[in-house]
Amino acid sequence: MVIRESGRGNEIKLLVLAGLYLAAGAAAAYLWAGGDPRPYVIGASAPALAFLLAAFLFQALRFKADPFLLPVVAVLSYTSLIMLYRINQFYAVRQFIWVLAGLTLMFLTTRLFTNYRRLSDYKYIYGLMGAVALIIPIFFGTEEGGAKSWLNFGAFHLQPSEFVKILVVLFLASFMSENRMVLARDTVTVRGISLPGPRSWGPLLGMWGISLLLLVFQRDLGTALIYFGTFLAMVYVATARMLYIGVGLVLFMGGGTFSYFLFGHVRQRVDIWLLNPYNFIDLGDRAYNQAYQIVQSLFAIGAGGLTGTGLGGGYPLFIPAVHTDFIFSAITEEMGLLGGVGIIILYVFFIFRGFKIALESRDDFSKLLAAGLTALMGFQSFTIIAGVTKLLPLTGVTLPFISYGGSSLLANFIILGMLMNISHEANTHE
Amino acid sequence: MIDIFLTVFRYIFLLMLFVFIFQLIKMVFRDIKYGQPGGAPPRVNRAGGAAEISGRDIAPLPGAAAGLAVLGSSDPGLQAGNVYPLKGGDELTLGRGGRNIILLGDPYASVDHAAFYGKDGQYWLEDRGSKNGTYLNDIRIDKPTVLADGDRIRIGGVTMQFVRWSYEVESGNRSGPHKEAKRG
Repeated sequence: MVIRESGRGNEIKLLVLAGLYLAAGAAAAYLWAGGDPRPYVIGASAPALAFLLAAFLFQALRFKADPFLLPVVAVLSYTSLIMLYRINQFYAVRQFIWVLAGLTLMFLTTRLFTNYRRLSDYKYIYGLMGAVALIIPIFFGTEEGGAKSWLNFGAFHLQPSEFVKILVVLFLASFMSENRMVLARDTVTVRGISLPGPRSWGPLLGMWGISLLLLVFQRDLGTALIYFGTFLAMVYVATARMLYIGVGLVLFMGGGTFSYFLFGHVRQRVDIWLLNPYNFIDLGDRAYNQAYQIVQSLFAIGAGGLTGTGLGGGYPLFIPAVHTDFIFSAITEEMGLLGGVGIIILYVFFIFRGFKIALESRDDFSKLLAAGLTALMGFQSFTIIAGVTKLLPLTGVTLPFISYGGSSLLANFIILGMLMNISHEANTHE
Repeated sequence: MIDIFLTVFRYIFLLMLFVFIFQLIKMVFRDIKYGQPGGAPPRVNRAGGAAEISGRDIAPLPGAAAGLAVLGSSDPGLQAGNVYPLKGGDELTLGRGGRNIILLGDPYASVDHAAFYGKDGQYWLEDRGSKNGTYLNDIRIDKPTVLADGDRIRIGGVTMQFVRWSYEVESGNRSGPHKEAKRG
């Protein structure tokens, strides 16, 4: 018990260190950009104090959630603020507001949904809400960055698929925890090899279909990939059967090959990835933009070297969409390989703590929910970092907590709040 | 002059990132080493597993001379007090895989974990190459072992007891060095 109480102490200590990191970044930004010093002071102290306030409130409320998640997210958000300020001050100011809003939302999530288990009672409502939210942009959506997944509300644009992610994980977690034994027992034996039976195929094919729909109608490759990956991870957590993963991968590859031959935008991205992207630059059509992006991203990462060009010393603005999808390239250019690796370590930490929460929680719903949300976060950060470094074909998704964008940031803070709730629950009944 | 400060702060910025990461790793290591409630497999008995039962307390099931009674379980599908009878020359297989007779929905159970069967008038427990082991009276078994009434079997978070209703064989007549070590 003593150790649990000191957990919040660790959290506060780490948040102070994170605050110093933000202060150093703000000082470098001020020396680089100059101007009135007051916005820098406010820009750096407000988020640092807000995170600390959240930690103190958790301590006062005897909230027993994992103490390492919040500091990791703090450093990711601070990196976002500094890099966005360096890229475009307008984005930084808006992101500043979104971070504070996200933090508030995270805190509200931990207060309102402390008893998150009752969320499992309304699973078909989420299923329906999620489906509707995904279908709406197909008819009323606007296209941004090749993906038709945005809703335009004038003052701000909303990307429903960012929030639907959470609904999908909630739905799958309640569905699977209810049907886990059915899924695990359901087998058909063919020539001595036991295969999953028909009742397991239904949801698997359904999820595959939803991913394909996303791919076809919204041209949102990245989100489709993340949904399907998260789904497979959750199926594995529920049943511990590698066979599902194998079948899932075969289905995924089938879908991938199919869409490569059928859809121009998929083929383009794969071609840029497999062939030399420099060759596409002279073509002068749409392929040019994406190849140009990748090429500039690779130049930026290369220019960074080991310790980077220093904040403000590089040319990240040469990369189109550097403030959203390509922010990792900008970080690697200005903070070097060390900075890039540091950010990856923080994501790995987040995922490690998330799976630890899943292991520590005691009922199927909590386990599946924690594992699903963590897998979601893991797949998303992996997909985009792999995309901008040309390890995988580029798929436009945001880098969690770092990319500019309100929908993505708010959704990720809700995920953080949910994980902390599950962790609190698991630690309370020790 | 400003350039020097700028360079210094750029490096401090990067340095602070790693100071944070190292501090994080240090704290997490300490947390793993000392502060670990939960995570250990046998959490079931703490959570209110059934009290000690003996074979005599359980009503004999028709056509069966022996069986396995669940004492405590981490799997809600496997209720404490359930009795699985062993009939004739059958084999009761235990594991997480769907083809097993006793399905263990426990994270520490392997797909095909263990088997319980009668042979030569005795009852045997055999580990089928499980990852986390089969424990007989808290000793891990590595070869087929003969069971006596009241023996406790633990697989992950599931504890069971071997119960025997008829005694063709003396329960003292047993093999396996592990047992003797335990009984002293």
